[in-house]
Amino acid sequence: MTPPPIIVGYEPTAAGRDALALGRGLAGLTGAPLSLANVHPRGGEERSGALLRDAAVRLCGDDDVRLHPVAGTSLPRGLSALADELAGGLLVVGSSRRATVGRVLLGSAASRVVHGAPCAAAVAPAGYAAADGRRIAVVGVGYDASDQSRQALSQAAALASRTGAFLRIVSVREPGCGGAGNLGHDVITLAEGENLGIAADAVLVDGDAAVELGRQGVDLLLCGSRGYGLGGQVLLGGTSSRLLRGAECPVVVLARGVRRTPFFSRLDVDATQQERGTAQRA
Amino acid sequence: VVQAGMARALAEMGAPVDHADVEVELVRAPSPAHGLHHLAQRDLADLVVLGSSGRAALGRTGAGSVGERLFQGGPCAVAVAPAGYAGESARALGRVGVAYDGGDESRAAVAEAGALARSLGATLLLIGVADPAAEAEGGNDDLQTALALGARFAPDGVTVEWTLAFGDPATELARQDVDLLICGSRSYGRPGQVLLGATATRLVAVARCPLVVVPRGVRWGLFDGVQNGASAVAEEAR
Repeated sequence: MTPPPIIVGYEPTAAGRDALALGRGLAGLTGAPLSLANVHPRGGEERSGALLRDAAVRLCGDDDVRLHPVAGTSLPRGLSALADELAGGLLVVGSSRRATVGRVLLGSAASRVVHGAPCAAAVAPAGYAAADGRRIAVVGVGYDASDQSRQALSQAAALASRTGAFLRIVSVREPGCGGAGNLGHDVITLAEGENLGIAADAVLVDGDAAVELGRQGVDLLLCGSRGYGLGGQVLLGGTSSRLLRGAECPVVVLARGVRRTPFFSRLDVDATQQERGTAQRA
Repeated sequence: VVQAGMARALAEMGAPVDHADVEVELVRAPSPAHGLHHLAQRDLADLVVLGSSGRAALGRTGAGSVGERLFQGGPCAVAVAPAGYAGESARALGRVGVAYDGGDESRAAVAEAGALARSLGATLLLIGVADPAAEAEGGNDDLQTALALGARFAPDGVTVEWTLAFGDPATELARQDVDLLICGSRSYGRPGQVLLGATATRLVAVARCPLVVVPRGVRWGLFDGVQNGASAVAEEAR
């Protein structure tokens, strides 16, 4: 079964190349098809097609990529529409021009891509494309025992199980807050109870979650959306929105709720696609 | 502790807690935004009103972290008052401005603003902002036509004016002489919630009067007449 496509918002800029490098890495890891999208104004279709072909030839090696010049004046609107059209599983964007190298910083357009995205959204740190040969070997997941973080944990475990990546469960104990959930219990459940056969560890750090989650030496960090608002889309909470202003690794924010197939778990893909087909006809 | 603090704060503010129309409720929630969202959803609120961030310049709006959350995914319209608004002498809301670009979301905003203007007895000002570069090529004729026709989306009995400004949309909208500004959500993403587009995102940081952002695609079924009128006018405009 093929996972839903990864859609990269591509521009011929450093941020566009960073997004592409991350999209390729994730496609290689998960086996998901890779789609490159460029949003162009009226009359810009030829240029858009040319720069996408150029990117495919120069930056994608032998990867099989699909190219999508999208007409429109708004990058977020174009990517959102394409994600709906292709039933995308993950939208990937780069960081702002003002980002420090090696860090994530959402720019204004990328921020609108992420907020309300109809599927999971990933942001590459600045300079990610230049750090070549980076393999995603350690996947981290932010865990605080909330429902959203439990879902993120199960998706991260599914990803690690399928790809052989090492899973690091990161919990942060913030001053003045309660415990950090049943960390030990969760790790045991993961490693033994569900018999996923994954290699995992858990770290419990004291400090500011938005800061600590972003610097745990993982190659990719997954986190859940916030715990309120409509499902089936990405909604940033206090921690995730600040995480996207400084994390030192690529960050994936998963969509809230279960209207769409959780990207990193292929279970029930068929059922969800049927459901989606019905919704589109209705 | 929080409860006692809240009671004291209300007493200090002279909040009209005895007034029959005012209910006071203390909510336990993981965060203020989560709690407000929950309450608004539970009580089918029409509007959540917030103050500006402590970092906002005096007289300007600026969302704090709670505002940021509710402006991205809030379940009903969200309003933010400019910093220092309480200190200003009581202002009549005599003039309600609404951002209008001819799109569905801005028509929804006009309908909402029109309903509000009617209940306030205020004048409604439709504000269109055009790109000066396109003006030379006559590229803004459509917007001008749409503005003139947009008045029809307001309910009967409301005095409607319209104006076409040129330049950066957020800057021009903030510059208008109105007592309250209303704009729509962006046109993509799930309906039934507030989501900021590019202009609204900037407007939240620079408005000089209270700003209301209305959610996308909810409750307009109630205004069926208005909506049908809107489609008819859109056809006409083409």
